[in-house]
Amino acid sequence: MGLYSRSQLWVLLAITALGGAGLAVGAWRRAHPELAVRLERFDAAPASPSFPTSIETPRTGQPPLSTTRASPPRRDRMTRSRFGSDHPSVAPPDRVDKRQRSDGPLDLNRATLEDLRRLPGIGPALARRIVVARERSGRFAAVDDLESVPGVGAGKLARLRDFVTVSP
Amino acid sequence: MGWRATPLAPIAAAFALGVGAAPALPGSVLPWSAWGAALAIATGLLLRGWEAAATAGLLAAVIALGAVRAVPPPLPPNHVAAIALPSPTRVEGRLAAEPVRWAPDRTRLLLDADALIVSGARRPVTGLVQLSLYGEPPPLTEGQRVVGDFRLSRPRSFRNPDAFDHAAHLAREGILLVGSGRAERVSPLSPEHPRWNVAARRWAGGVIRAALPPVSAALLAGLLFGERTDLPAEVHDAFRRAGVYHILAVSGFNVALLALGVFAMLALLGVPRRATAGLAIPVVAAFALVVGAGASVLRAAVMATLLLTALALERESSLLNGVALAALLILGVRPGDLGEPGFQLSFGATLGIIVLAPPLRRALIGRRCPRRLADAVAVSASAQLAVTPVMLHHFNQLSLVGVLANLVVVPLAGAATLVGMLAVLSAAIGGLVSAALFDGLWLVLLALRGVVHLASRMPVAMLHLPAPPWTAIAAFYLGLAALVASGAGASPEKAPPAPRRARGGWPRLAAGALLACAAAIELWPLARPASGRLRVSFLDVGQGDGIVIELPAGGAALVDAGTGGPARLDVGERVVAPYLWNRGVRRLALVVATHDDVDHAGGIASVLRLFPAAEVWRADRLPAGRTRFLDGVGVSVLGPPAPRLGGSRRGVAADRNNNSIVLRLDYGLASLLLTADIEDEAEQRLLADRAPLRARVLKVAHHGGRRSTSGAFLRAVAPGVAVISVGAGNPFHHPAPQTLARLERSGARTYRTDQDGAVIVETDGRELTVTTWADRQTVRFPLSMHRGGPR
Repeated sequence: MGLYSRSQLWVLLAITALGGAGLAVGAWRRAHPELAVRLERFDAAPASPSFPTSIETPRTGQPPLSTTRASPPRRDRMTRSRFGSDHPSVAPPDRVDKRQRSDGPLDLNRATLEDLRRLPGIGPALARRIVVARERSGRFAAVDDLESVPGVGAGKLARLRDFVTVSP
Repeated sequence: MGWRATPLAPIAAAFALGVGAAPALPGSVLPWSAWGAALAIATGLLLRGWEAAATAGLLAAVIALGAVRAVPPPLPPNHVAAIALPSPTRVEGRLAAEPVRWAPDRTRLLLDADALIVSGARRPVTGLVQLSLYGEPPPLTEGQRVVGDFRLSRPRSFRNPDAFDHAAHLAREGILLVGSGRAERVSPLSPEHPRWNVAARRWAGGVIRAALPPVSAALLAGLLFGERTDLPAEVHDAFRRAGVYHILAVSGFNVALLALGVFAMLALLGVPRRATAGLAIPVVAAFALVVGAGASVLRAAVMATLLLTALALERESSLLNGVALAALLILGVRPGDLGEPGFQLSFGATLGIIVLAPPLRRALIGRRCPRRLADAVAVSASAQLAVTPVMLHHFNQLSLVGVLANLVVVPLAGAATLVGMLAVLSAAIGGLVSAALFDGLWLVLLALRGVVHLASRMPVAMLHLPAPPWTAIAAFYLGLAALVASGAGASPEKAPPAPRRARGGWPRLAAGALLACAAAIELWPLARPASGRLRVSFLDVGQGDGIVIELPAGGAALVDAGTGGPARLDVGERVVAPYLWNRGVRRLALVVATHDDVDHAGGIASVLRLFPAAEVWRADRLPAGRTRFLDGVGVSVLGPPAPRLGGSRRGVAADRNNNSIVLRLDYGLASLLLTADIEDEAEQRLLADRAPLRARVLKVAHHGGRRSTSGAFLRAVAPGVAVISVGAGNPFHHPAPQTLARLERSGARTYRTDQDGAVIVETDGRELTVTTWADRQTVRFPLSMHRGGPR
């Protein structure tokens, strides 16, 4: 036939083999997502049973700062930075200890009771009401939804706005 | 041109073959094992030094790889389509494409779902969902996250012979679930930040709309970025009829003009050629990104990049190799595109121009045709020839004026595109120049529309013919190949000047024979002798009626044509008309719109636009005589009664149903009663009038609604076969269980278009057969003189 030279044939065979192998791995991963996750985490430090971490943790490439709350996936960060440009979050230095560590605004849809209690003007009772409201509606669609929680008025919402966000 | 110059062509052909064969394979085991075996064998052969055999093995492995790529993977357990969903469901996800507004208050979204919210709980999912929104949605853009409430379902196809398979088309794009909902129920979760390319397209669209009157603006938007949604239906239609619709799709034409513009501009500035070629590549890439990722755009951009790279590196390039690379890339990423008309038309036309045009041009010049004209005609005709089977297969269209119309339209469109690009770009800088350019452009656009309008008005601008069977398609392309072979090797500079008579010979003869064969197979449905049988097809048109009557001597009639109109699927145009064309019907002896409900008369307007009809009956315009003979079939009008029925307790809708046209067909011993949507009152009246109701086949009234088909009426008709024309999951809960029970008791064998697909009743007057298209089963019903006999 003389279609291809010897070296061309080797390259084409290698590409065909690689392409097929890639497709095979992709199909297997989609069919068994939980196995794929286990394989990916084979060298991870064993998580303590009382603090479950979510599957999303390895995606950010960093160990979570607080094991009670999985760090949000990368996409959330992008959205958050977009929101950030609309609402510049300049936290006064004396409030820093009340904020949720170095991780930027707190995600209302993922925050635990503990996280919420660290916010300015929120105590244990209000934190519980926020969690109850979140469970009732499934999630907060926007930060403004907080106003529907009994105990959060326009003033408190304005104060909270810089410290919280809502993950999509 | 040797094969060594186009190393990718065999690979691309093999891959496409594999992709094309995939739907016929039972599972993924066969292609996987074929891939492994072929690879191992090819490697072994190559190690032993048998290169030719190793090449064959490699191509086999590539075929298998194509099949592996195209076989749909098993659904992951959390795929939206694998979950039983309540209705309506709250779905959250990311928009995977720009929203498409296809009618004034209809928008289509493609949602990459990532969560369902069922009674307050989030459930993570994956998978694409295509959504139709009714009303005015908030501003949305690709990549944005949204949440909304939708009624979700598996996509359904109408199951008719040779019909377009909507569900398969969506599955090729990876969409296994569709949904609909009100636009107000959709809310964005992230701000609308269009990416730069989308923003650029919107900005350009705004500039064009501000500078030009609406229709011209829509036309320019189509020319520049293939955006056709604003173009009025009649302009669409004119472009199709004139065979120049391709200029409304972005293709190599636009990309070539763009590159030409860059070259001209930089040459004026004194930039050297090689650098210009390098600079043109990012411009082409940016243009492709702005315009969007249709198959034709991708193909053109890949080919242009390859050619420009070759220019920049001063290497020789092969067009065919570029086509092959583009095909490999597109099919590798989206294997489903192979079955889509956009892919087939784009690659077909390009291959046609590359392979067919040179010999055609030589032949024309040999016959003393001026060079420039020969160039234009050769390109236009070869593209048209190469896509003829594709157009017939998907659209039943054969444009006869296309070759000529393109000679005028393409230069005009080229001028409009070039000036349009300049005008839009200059609008970014300053107003005055751009305004002048747009005003000049307007005249060009008007001229373009004028030419297209004239061409589309020519008497046989376009023919609607049956979709060709694969035998005709194969014969056609083999014939073209033989034609090329007969003219090949005659390129004056490369080959030795072969004597003219030697290369005529057998390839030309074979080409003639094969093309004649293809034409004969294609035209057979139009030319076949009359069957002497009456064939009544109750088409699957969803919720509604669409009944095609083929008469024993070759004529045809139509009773109702399903839903229609601008804001919904037009069944008349999309289902009924293709069915008629595929059956070889080109004119209708009679069209009946039984009553004015949209699920019966909606599609009639399109049918009347596409087919000449000798007679049209409507409930308010009935013929004087009550019985008519069409080709020996008695057609009697049994209803509505002369003073119309009225005052039904169930309101005017019931009155309209009661006054629909009731038809009776008689042919030999066979008889059919078509009762449209009549309800209780009309049935009582027919019984009281002692109308001739007894019939072998009953088209059950009103989609099997419970107010129709009473026990007394059924006893009078005593049908052997009952057909219910009804859509699956319709909001009226048709057919009613009571009606089904009454039919069961009457002893009639009941067929339903929602379960059986199209139901086709065929009779020669002595025997009757019923074919159900969903399972391709045919049942025989003997007809006897003794009406009381067993059915």
